[in-house]
Amino acid sequence: MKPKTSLTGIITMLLLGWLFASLAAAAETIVYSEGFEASNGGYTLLTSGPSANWQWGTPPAAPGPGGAHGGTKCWGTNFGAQMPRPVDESIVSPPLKLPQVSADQIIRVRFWAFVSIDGMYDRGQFFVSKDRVSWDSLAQFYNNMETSPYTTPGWHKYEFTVSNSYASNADPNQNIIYLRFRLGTPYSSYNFYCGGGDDRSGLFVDDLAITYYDIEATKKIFTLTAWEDPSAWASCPWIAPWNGSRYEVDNDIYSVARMPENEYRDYYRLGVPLAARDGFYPMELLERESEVSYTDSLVLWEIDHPADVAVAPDQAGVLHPYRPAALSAPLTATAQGKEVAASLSAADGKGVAAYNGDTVTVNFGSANIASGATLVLGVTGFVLGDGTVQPYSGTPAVVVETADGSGGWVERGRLLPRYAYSVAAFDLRPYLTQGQPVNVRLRAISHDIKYHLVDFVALYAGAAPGFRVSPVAPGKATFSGRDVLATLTSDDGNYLRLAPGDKAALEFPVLPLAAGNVREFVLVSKGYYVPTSGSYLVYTWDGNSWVQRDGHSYPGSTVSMDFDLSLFLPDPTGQYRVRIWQDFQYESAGIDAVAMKVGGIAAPLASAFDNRYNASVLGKLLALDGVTDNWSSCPRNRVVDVSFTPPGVANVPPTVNPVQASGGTSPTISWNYRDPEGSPQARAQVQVWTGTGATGTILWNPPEFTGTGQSVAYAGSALQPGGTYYARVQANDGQDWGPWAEAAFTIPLQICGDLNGDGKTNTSDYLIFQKALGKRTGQAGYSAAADMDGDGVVSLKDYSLWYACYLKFR
Amino acid sequence: MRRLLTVLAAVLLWGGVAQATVVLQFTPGTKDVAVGSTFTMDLRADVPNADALVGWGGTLLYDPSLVRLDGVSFGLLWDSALYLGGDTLVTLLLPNPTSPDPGASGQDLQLAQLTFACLGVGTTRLGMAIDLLDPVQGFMRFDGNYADLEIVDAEINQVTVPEPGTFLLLLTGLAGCLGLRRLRS
Repeated sequence: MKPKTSLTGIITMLLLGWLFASLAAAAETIVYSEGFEASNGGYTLLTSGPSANWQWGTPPAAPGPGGAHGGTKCWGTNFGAQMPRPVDESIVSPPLKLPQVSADQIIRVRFWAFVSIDGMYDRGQFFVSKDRVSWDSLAQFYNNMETSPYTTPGWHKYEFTVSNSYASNADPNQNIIYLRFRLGTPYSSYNFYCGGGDDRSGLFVDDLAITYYDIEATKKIFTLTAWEDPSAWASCPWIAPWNGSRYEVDNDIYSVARMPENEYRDYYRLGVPLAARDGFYPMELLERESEVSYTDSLVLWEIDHPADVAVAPDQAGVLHPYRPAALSAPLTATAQGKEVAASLSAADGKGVAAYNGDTVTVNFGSANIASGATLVLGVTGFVLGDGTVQPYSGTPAVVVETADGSGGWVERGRLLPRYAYSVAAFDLRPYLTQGQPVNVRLRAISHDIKYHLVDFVALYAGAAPGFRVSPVAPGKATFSGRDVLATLTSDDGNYLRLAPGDKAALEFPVLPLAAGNVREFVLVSKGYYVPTSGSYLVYTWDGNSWVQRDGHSYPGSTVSMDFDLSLFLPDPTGQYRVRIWQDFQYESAGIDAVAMKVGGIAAPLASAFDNRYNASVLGKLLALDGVTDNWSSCPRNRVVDVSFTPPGVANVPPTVNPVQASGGTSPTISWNYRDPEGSPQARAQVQVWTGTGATGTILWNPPEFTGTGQSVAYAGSALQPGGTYYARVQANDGQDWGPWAEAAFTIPLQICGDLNGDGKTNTSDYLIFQKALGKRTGQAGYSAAADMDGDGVVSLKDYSLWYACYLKFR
Repeated sequence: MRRLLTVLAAVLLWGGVAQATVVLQFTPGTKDVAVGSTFTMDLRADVPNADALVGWGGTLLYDPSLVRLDGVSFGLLWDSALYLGGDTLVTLLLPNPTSPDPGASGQDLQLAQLTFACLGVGTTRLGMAIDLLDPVQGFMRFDGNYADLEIVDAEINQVTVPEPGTFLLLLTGLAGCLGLRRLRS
């Protein structure tokens, strides 16, 4: 028999509740919580590649966390073994209906994750979505998510702000959110760029919650102005042509269209064979990188010509034919004062590393260019190098320049680099003078510590051979089981959105090939991509440790983002301290400035300490001046602690220790309010969870209490005998919220005859029975607990049952 | 006068299983009382171990024109607090933290003591009726079944008491008779 709430208990609750003057909305309202204890939460698989073997249950000992974060069960990959590779698979929540969020609230989502994947290419990723089709990436994880790759991975809490647009409707049925956790390991072997990585058990997730935070009247807004190279491997979707036996990954397309404002039409000559199948040329469009891509249109140019001819496009889509056998290598070439012509004479991967601003000057001598002057250029882009970190300053390119009449260099075209080798051609005849030396300068635009490898440079000075080009729109296009042909066949602003791990299937009709000709292909694509891989994580001090409060990915160019830390500042010591962790270890990043406003008034930056450099960076972070605190490469300790001097008199938030909870299945939760300045308690909020630290499932999330009362009767979901629960309390002194304090309490095991739920069967229970004897359901004095046989009346027969219990448990 | 009362409902609940019987008895079996006096009757029971009781209840039967129930006190094993007045007795076996016995049993077990006032001349039986449809009536055994009962009623005779003057004259007369007899001898 479940314990039941007695009338006395209800009255007590009401009386205790009355101690508080009034109720308001909770400062933190829990609208969803899932600890994966009773069930798997209804999460399902979303497969984008080989299975990661997601499982729900209790992970065994290492490799892996050796258990759930809270309770005994969680979701995770490949329990008890290292994760399989390569994989790309996600778990997705059921559609979660959210209540309408008010204008003075923000939506937050939090969870605990155990991350143990490789240190470079693998990614754990967290998304949200309104429709389970388009996903917003909120965070990415890799390696062990520790500041040292050698630290044993552990469970960590992550929390992020979600757009209020997810819950803007009055009808919760219109406020659907999906949560998704992805594990992607693109390669069959792992790579730890900075060491560590013995565990490699994958990704584990537990204790999710969606909460609404009230926006406090006195906001504490932290502004972080920073940049980060989003990903060395973020470069739009890749094309994988069908080579007759499989889809062979070729290269990335619209490779420098980073962000919508840089969208363009891209022309890529396929580098791997494309074979026909059933009258079509099949291809796959893959999103392999740490980004989301948006493809507006795709067209395949089928280019037919004799076998001794080749055709390559320039950046504008003009095709330039040439005869490979007639290409001339440079006579001389100079880069950084060195002769490099030999490195440029063949497409062999041995070229010149051109970092941002570097030039390669190529001399073809006094070539006869009467019939034409086509420059053929082969480049592998975005190669990780070393040296000084360069922020993103412009669209990456290898700019092709010739001299003007005054000796200056003028751009005549540009090769837009890709991650794999690609070839472009440029007609330089209009810019050159017959009889004069043919000099060409190649200038690199890059960023971070990446360079473009200029592998091959040659000049074709003959007459243009003939060729025929036939643009073909896709005949079929599907993504995730949907027909997306209409989306991809015109430049209409309707995009095919691909998140990491997504892929679309394309088929282009095969046109007849004239006898004696061979066919090359140029894929014409239009779109852009948004890198998502970097993360600045923001922490505050909770009295015991730094707790992650928010975070966001930053672009490669310097931008400012605000983080509302009103509920967490000042910290329990009265200080306005913030920790920033830029959690990458091999891609560059930097902070230009930090700022804090308290109630709209600027709080001056008092200190800034870079833990990697073990030095103050106060001077660098004071102002938006381009003077930045930069990092590149390992180790993964890009941690900066900053503090601010708040305006006015500093206030130390109140504490509520100790919190206590007692009283069986109807406990009273009490706390000891103390405020250093002696301010009375103005508000308090109380929560009861199944797990410690606001984890598991929320059982009671009452509205915020106002007033000075320091106890309240529990009125949440039924507490089960034998269960351990966690009561949390937080108080506000009229200015600031203090830290949460928590108490665990265990409901005594249900004992036969224990009518008052105190874990004992004794004369106290007898007195309850005595008063209930003879009473029927609905009658005053009736006790369901005393109605041992549940027949609706408390009878002598019930007493015989009770007495037997009494003899057993007295 | 003895009367055997078998409670039909109890028998029905018995389920045909052979059981011991609780003998319920009002004592003394016959009581002569004077009109206007107050007297007590005990309600006692012989309860076999197999019928150990955890509670009981029933309604007293008597002629209210002849006697009036003025008070009830239960035996030490039983909870007096449950008695709310009137002719219906209800009580429970008090929890005893030290007793190893499952319920109350034994010979001549005192259940209650009843205090009556004698209102008029005549004879009345004192007995008990039990309605098993009432959740607080019946003799409830430890095992959750009702005990089979044998109820032994008592008989109360109310007589008239002589007036004090008359009684004195009788004594005087008797004394005179005894004196004359002595003188003759």
